[in-house]
Amino acid sequence: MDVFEPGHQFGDFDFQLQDNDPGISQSGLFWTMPIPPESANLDFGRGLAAFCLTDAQMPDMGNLLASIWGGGALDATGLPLPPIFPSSVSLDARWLGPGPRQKTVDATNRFVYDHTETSASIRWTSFRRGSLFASDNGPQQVLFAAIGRERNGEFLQSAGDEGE
Amino acid sequence: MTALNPNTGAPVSSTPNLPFATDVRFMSGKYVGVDGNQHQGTFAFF
Repeated sequence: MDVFEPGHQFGDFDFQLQDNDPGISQSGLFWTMPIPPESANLDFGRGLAAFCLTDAQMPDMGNLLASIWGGGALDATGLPLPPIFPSSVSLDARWLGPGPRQKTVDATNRFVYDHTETSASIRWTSFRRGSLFASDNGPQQVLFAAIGRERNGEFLQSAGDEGE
Repeated sequence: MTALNPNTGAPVSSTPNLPFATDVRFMSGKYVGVDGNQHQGTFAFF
């Protein structure tokens, strides 16, 4: 979740106020965290999904550059990046309004992806250092949303998998 | 986004609405861990 000063948008990192993400692990896995299984629900047949979290611990990295390079580090021009602060977030994301099912079979890269594009909406709250931000009922623009099933790697063992 | 008073939940009137962007995904299923074994899990990407 990236919050910006009024009049700015994603990409305007000098005007970013907040960047909640789980960070980058030593293995290189980035911005990914385990969640309780019951927090995510999918009805693939009806094209619906919901993901809800309450008070998940997720640092505020300040901006995307600090999230990549680490808080307090220097950016490419030698200027210090913002520090990292503890933060907690709650969210309620919904996927709905499915379009036609689409299936991609990629034998070269060995994956099968069966999905439908949808609409989506999100409600989000973040708490940090005595500050509380909450999404309001303003319009949301969805650039891309989808739900799908994918198999790849060793989970795509047989030629039948690739051709189904 | 709206800035709220963390004690009362009331909007902070001096703060204008703030634009936000998000990329949220969740994944549930089987995966191969760094230990080379298969596991079952649920993860989110932010």
